[in-house]
Amino acid sequence: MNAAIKKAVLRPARNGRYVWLSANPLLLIGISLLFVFMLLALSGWLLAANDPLAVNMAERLKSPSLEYPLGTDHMGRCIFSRLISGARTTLGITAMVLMTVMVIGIPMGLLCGYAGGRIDALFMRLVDGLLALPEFILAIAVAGFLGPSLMNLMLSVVLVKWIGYARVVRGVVMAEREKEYILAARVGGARTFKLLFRHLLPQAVSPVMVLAAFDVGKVILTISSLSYLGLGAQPPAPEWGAMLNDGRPYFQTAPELMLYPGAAIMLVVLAFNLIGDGLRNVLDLKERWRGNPG
Amino acid sequence: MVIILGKRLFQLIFVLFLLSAATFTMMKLAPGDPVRSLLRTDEFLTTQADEAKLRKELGFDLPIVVQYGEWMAGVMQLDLGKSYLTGKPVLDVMASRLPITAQLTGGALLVMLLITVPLGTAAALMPGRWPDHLGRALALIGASVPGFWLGLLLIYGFSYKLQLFPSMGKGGFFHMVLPCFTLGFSLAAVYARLLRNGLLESLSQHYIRAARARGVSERVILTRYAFRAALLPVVTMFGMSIGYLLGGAVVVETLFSWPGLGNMVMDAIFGRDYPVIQGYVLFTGAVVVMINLIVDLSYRAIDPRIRFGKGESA
Repeated sequence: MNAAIKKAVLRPARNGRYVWLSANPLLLIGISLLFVFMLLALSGWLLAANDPLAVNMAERLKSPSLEYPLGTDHMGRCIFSRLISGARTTLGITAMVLMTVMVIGIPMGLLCGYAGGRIDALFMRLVDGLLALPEFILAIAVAGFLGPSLMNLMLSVVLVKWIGYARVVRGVVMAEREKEYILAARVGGARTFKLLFRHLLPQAVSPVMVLAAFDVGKVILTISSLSYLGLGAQPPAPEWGAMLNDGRPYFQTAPELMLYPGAAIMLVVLAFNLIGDGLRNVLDLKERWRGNPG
Repeated sequence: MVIILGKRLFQLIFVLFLLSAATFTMMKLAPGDPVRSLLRTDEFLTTQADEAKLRKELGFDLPIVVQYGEWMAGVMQLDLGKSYLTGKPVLDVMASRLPITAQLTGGALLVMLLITVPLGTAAALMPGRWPDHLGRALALIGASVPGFWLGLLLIYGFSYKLQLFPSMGKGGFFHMVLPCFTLGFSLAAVYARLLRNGLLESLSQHYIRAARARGVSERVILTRYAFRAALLPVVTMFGMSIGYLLGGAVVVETLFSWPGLGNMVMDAIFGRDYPVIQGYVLFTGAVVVMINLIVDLSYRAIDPRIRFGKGESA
């Protein structure tokens, strides 16, 4: 286990052993919340096996029952099943986006931080250009020009988000590359590749973890907001934002159609924000990794 | 000072060029043929000749570099082309929508200030007490609540159940309350926390102690001394938030049928009205870069340490 992760979840106790999480209530609440969500998703998968896409007009807008734990929507689809499969959609997309972002951003950061000079200057210019266009606006541009779809939405999020990781890793590498242990490793005959991935990259794990925790929340908010606008997941896909959009015409007669998906989004994002806050406190990073909303 | 200004202006131009090239390329890559879809909406039987004529009229038969050059030359003269759908100049459409969006974002900023300043100050003056806890909770909620959901809840509660405020369109003061609150809330929650941290930090500085020792009143210390130092991180963040505000405005405008720029661009997206989208993206990018330029310059006004050259890196 990485030392940084160990420090985050475990706390050294007096007798030399580690105590689970007890040091950090924020982290504990966040992880528990996430755990409850996973359990719900899992239980839904095992127990409430209604088809999230099955339309049943005879059963529309039913109140909660044993068969439909949260009732049915305007097309007689099981809301609970849709929420559960929406969780899989939302979390799956977010995970994919963040993984792509890291696969692009981290090597870019390593490269720019280590090489410096012209490559780095070019990178910084590119970053300035991309940062001028806020993520949300870029997503609108991509959706506008290439057509609204989930794939295009993911593309636009990746296009902006990798910068954050590249910058963080670049900063760490620049601060570390002149230190003695790097020199020692080099004297010891380590190749550049090994130097980068074995010696420099581990230094960046903590800030990247914190950044990722906050980014999960932000990506979920972006994706659901744009899906709500009709620029992301398209109906009948059970994505939370799209579900809200779907239920919008019925919100006076059936407010629960908008209540549940919105609450689900908020709780999941809250869980990740708590985890991010907790991680930052435990790992002792400065406020600057927090970023701003949106 | 002049060098920095020049550098930022150069950056502004560079970014705008990058933006224009990117949007132009994307527009050309876009699937679907705007000429065909235009003709289809006319509901006439069209011939090959009609199509060619329109294509020529719109300049689509020229090489792409020439098209970009011509378009760019137009942009330099503030000519952003004409909307495919309405035929009106994009600049005129945007000019008529801009004040409406400015009203919304201005209102949102006002809401933000009305929440941030009292809450942030109270939290800083009573750390660990209830205003502090309230601020902490609000910051978490503000960063987690989806804006469109908050808006829907407000509409349900205040305009459907209580019938206090209208939920649609633009009108007087009452029309503004819900949209501005929806847009301003998340910002307010985060900024209150930022202001609180900034105030706590500056209140613990030596110059505050020195001022107290000189017998400066607490009120003056807070308003003249501590606030000024606490303003720096807030102003920095503001440069980053402008993008959030403009993006959030799209959601809020759609939600409340607010006839601003966001509504315009959503209509343009679903109508494949590329010149309008392009104009919007260019304009938004320019605004974000310019606001950041202003933020950079205002550092110098706020913080004498930077003005006198010690903190040039900041």
